[in-house]
Amino acid sequence: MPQRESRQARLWRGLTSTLAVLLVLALFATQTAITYTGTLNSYLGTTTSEVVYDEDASGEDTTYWTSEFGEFSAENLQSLIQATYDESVLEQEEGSVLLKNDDNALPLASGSRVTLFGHAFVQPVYSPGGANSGAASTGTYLITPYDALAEAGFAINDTLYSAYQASDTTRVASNNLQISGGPNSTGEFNAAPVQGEEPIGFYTDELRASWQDDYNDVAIVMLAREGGEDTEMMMEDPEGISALALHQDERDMLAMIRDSGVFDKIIVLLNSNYQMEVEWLDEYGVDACLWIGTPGLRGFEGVANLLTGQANPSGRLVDTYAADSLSSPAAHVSSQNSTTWTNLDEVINSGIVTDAENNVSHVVIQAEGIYVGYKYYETRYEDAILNPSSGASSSAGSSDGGAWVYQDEVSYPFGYGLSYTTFEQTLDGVTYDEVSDTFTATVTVTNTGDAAGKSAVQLYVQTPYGAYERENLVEKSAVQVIGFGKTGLLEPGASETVEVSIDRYLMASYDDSNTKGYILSAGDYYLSLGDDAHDALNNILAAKGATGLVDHEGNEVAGDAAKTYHWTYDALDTESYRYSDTGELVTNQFDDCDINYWFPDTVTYLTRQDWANTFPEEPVEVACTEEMMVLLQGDTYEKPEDAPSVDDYTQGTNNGLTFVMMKDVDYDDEETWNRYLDQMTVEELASQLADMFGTAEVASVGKPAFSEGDGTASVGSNTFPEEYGDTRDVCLYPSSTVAACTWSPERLQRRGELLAEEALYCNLPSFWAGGGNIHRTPFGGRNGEYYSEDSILTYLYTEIQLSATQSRGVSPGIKHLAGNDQELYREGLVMFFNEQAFREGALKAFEGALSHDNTLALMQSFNRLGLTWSSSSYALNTQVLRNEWGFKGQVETDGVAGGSYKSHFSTSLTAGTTTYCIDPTGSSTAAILQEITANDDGCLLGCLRDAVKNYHYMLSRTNLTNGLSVNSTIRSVMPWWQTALYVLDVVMAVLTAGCAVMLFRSGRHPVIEVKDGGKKTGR
Amino acid sequence: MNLKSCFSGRAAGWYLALAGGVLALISIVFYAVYGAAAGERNLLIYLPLAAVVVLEVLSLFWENDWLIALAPALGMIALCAFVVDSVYTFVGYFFNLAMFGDVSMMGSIVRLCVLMGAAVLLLLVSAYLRHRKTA
Repeated sequence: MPQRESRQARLWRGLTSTLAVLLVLALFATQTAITYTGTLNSYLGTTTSEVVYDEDASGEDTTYWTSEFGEFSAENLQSLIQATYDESVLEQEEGSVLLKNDDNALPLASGSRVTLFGHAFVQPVYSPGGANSGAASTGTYLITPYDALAEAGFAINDTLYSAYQASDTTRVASNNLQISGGPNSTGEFNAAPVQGEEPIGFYTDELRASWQDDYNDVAIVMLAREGGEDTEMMMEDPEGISALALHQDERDMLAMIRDSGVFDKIIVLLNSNYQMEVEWLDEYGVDACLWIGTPGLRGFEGVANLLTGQANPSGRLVDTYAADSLSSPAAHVSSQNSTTWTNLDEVINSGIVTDAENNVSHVVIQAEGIYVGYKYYETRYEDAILNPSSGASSSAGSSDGGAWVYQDEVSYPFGYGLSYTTFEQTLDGVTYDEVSDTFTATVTVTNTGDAAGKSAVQLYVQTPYGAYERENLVEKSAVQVIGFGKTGLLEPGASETVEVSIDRYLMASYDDSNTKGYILSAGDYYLSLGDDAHDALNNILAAKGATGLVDHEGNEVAGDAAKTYHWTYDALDTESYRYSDTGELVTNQFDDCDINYWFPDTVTYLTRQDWANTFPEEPVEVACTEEMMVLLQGDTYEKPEDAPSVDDYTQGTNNGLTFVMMKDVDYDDEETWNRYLDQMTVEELASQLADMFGTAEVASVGKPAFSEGDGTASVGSNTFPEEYGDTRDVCLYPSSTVAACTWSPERLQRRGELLAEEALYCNLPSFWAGGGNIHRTPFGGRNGEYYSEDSILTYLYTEIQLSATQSRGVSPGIKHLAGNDQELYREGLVMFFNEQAFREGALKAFEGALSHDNTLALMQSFNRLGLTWSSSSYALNTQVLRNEWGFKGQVETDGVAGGSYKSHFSTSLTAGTTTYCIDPTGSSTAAILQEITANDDGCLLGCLRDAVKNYHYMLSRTNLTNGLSVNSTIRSVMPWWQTALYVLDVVMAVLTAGCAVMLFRSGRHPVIEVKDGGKKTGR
Repeated sequence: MNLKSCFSGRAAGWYLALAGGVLALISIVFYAVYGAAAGERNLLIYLPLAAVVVLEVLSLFWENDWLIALAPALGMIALCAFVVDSVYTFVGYFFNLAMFGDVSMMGSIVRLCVLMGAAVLLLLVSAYLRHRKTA
């Protein structure tokens, strides 16, 4: 029967349909918002729980962690903010490195009329980039380079500056390789990198006229390189050259400046955390060059102070500046030179490996061994002088294809830096204390120049490389930085004595083939004072009677044996460090991370016995066997046969313990911690696994929910709370690399303290604070978050900075343990290495922070150690970290969002992981909970309890306890956005139902024919 | 009843709904291809889209306001479920962080969103229009 659709019916039908669609949308939005509760709370400043304070405890002082600036108040916050700004300036002043200063070109005269060259002046790089430094590099409090120079009294050529501002040129930081994986191919959704310098045609006659007769006292040129998380520096960029080389537009600009002939001085500023190639400085008539890294929010004021002489540069490089950025052995085998399995198709289609292809395909074999950075260049230099038969002077690895010559390979050595004054340093004496197992070196520093300044004290050690080491392939760097210090501000003629304490343990080498542990070699040891690593080595060579020494420019030098201290060990010592401070046997744990374990004699690691034939010119490619595929897949956890039942544990009991009470409970008080853990249900325990920059509350023990920050150069994307009347962003400090270049314990300590103070005001119990990875090559995208190419310097620096933060009730997490030294293919990257290189390199860099309670939190890395994801490595997370180093605290993955190889939760939890970063949907919680309950897996439950114990131990040592008394409880609250969504759902449902009723009432009516020929509708 | 009679007397609304159903069918196919590449298979996407297709086939033989009103909501369920599944990829794309999802699939994701969205829109508009010409 035909139906009539009345207009009314259609209207109600349409409205019902519309509202039903909106109802679906509202329900999905509500469900999604609830899933991402942590994220939303973080953005909106809301919470799902609140502390119910005990009224009876109103007289108690529950502020366990206080600020050095006094009570938390609006006025004291201003003092803190000013202190952070002042510290940023100081850090920049002491961390900038003067590389060249011909004829005292710097400092500049006050009131100089200057022209600023380089697009970087209008687009400077302020931060190391990526997820680490979310604090603002814009806004009211930012000091731009222009502002800083203008404030310093320079008269600036505004014609050119305005032209730069008006230009469409924009630097785009991108390696664009992550998507397609191929060099120079543009990924579908990644922007192609743009160097961002103006082409020569930009400089019109009008612009050139602006400096022809004025503003030509000084040309200040700023060159920038920008990278960051997931943004590697390219070894071969779209111009076909290293991203760190000078590009054509930059060359043209520099040539234009030089050829104009009108500038009295040409100054170059290097705005880059990556070691740029700088051999061109003389070619373009550059008088002075100042490396400034990334200065953060306020650091350009420090740069200006250096240019005017208000501050005297005292920074020293923490990396080797190679003439060719691609010359290091590590660069030959990593980043864009990473390989894939030779049988990749077989791996992907094996049925054994089922994770995402990009996470199982890429391989790096670290064939350079220990020879990273200056360890390579300086060792090869020594061997070229003392052991020519080693092939050190061969062409293998030479930048120009000819004989390897040190001064042709190195522009500026590790530790190098100039000053506006001169200093004389003398090694007064060295003593050794057997009880503390430390050397103490006493150094007198005298300012022999005309300007006040500070001087960094650098101490290096050379340990014996003898028959035992050669036979057992224990490689030795010719020099190793071993201690440091810095004077205060010395007036001309003034002196200061600096004492440097040196832990003898840091002189030990790791023998992974015979002793399988740390050794102190038999033979001659030299401790050397030096202006840089090369100078220190020359002093040692002088002490050894060597001749033919040169400096980094090739000038003959004699070295100074008086700056060395020599002693001898008669016998090989394999016992002093056989056991760690915790009493754990230290022995090989990473044998299967060496490719030779799987395919014997596949790789000969670079050895100083034979530079010519072991230099890794090309990366080695290998296949993946079925046995390797099983490890590669990584889902290896199986419930042990003797696993206890879940019922063997008592969960959900009330033992009268609260979170705040645990702040005074020793880690080793197993009984109390077990009673605490017993109070939580299995669900509550599992809820602590998923970390969305903060974890959920646990009502049964009164542990609040909280937010954490993500830094290195700041405490993260945070603003100060409204209650203190100033909601500006936290401070963005100069990069970690700038801080490292200060070589100042005082600066590092102060940075750690002030970061903690900001975290206290922002109510952040923890933040990701320290980058412990090393600059294995100059190309690593996150190098700006890390300190140096040297592992021991990183060890020493992080000890100072992170313990300073930890001592203030804020947990500074160090990341990324271990080996995250390239961004390219970082997720799931297979890394093969020998254990000596790993123990002395990537792992050593973290040991200072993670041993002796200097910090209680760390983040693991995306890459694999061998075939095993770092988070799933029992050897790393339990055997080394907890057993050898005695680490107590949080061990968190890097972001697990995206699943794939990062979703093997049982394997990683049982390996020693405690929490899972960026897990917004709680997939870790759900997976572990499901496995425990479905399989009655008491072993997994035991590991979960351990994880929560370590995590809560860390949290109980932070300001998360502030405000909590013994009887404080946690009450769940519904944040306003959740209420609003529920209301929206109800409203939509009601409206939909209402329209549906109206539709029903107005529904279709059959057409009824009546006898008189008319039509009538009827119900 | 033959196929020709199914199409007789139909108005614009019905044709729009039919087009929506066709788009829903295409979406199922595209999602199957996408899912094979991305390793995804969400029944909350397949089933509602399939239901839309079934409803439109039924509409050939049976006119019912409730089914017309329901179809867009079903399509919306599928679209919302797909967007939620793809959140990581959107985050990775817009924040340029490769750890989230697989941004190389962004094109496929956008195409599917457009297809499903178009289907929903057509079905929604059709709900306001006549499905049968007046006698």
